[in-house]
Amino acid sequence: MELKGIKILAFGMIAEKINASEFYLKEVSNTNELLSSLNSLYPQLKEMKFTISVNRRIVNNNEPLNADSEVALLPPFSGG
Amino acid sequence: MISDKSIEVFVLAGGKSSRMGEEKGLMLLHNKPMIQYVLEQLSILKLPVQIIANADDYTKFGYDTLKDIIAEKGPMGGLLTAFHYAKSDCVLLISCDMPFITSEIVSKLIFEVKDDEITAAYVQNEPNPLFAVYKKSLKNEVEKRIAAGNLQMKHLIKSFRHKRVEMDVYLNRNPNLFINLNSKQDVNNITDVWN
Repeated sequence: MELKGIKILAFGMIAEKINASEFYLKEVSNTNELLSSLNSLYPQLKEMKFTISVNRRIVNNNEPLNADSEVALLPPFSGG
Repeated sequence: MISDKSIEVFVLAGGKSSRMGEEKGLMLLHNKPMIQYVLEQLSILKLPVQIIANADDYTKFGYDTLKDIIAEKGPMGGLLTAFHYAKSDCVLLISCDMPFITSEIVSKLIFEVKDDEITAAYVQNEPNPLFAVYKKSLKNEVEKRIAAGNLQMKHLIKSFRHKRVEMDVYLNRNPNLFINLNSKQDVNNITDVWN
């Protein structure tokens, strides 16, 4: 894994809540660990519904991550 | 499915985004205004399309551009405006900030329109009010809700008999499909990485 870690893109209200549209996370090797890290770093996300996509696929189960993974946090798709 | 001729499409582009600080639909995505992606997909289906926008800039796209008949009422006001101008029994509302929507998905939604007063795309178990078809028979109800200040579109949908059109299978193929780009950062994220 590269030094900076995995690049995470945040969209819409998720970006607003955490005040960042992109950031890097180290030492996460799968999406379950990603969720744990997000909950620790940004407790405000615990109350929010959002979807994780990895390499342009919606993640429904735990999925491995690597330095090249393209990760996005997507808010609910409710329009406007 | 009902005849395509009985549906008119209204692309909602009303109001500036406070987050973007400019007209959402005119934000450039790969050098093209966001609304143009939506209009191009709709043109494939050859449906009658009108734009609801309060800025005059939208007239350049070559479609009738309508101003809200009651200002500052959000999408509920847009729906009332659509009902006011629609000659058809049904209106499809679609947001201008869904640049990855495809004609296939629009077709799928329209195909499911039957007798229900509302036919709404459902994504992850929630309706998307800005990708839904509404029967004009709801006009009085919408007027009442606006008068009462009840502007929640999801509440309108859930209060009426409506058809759910499940879209998760398409979302799983393409997570961009229903994404709303609401800020310059959203646009930058998409532009930089999701080419």
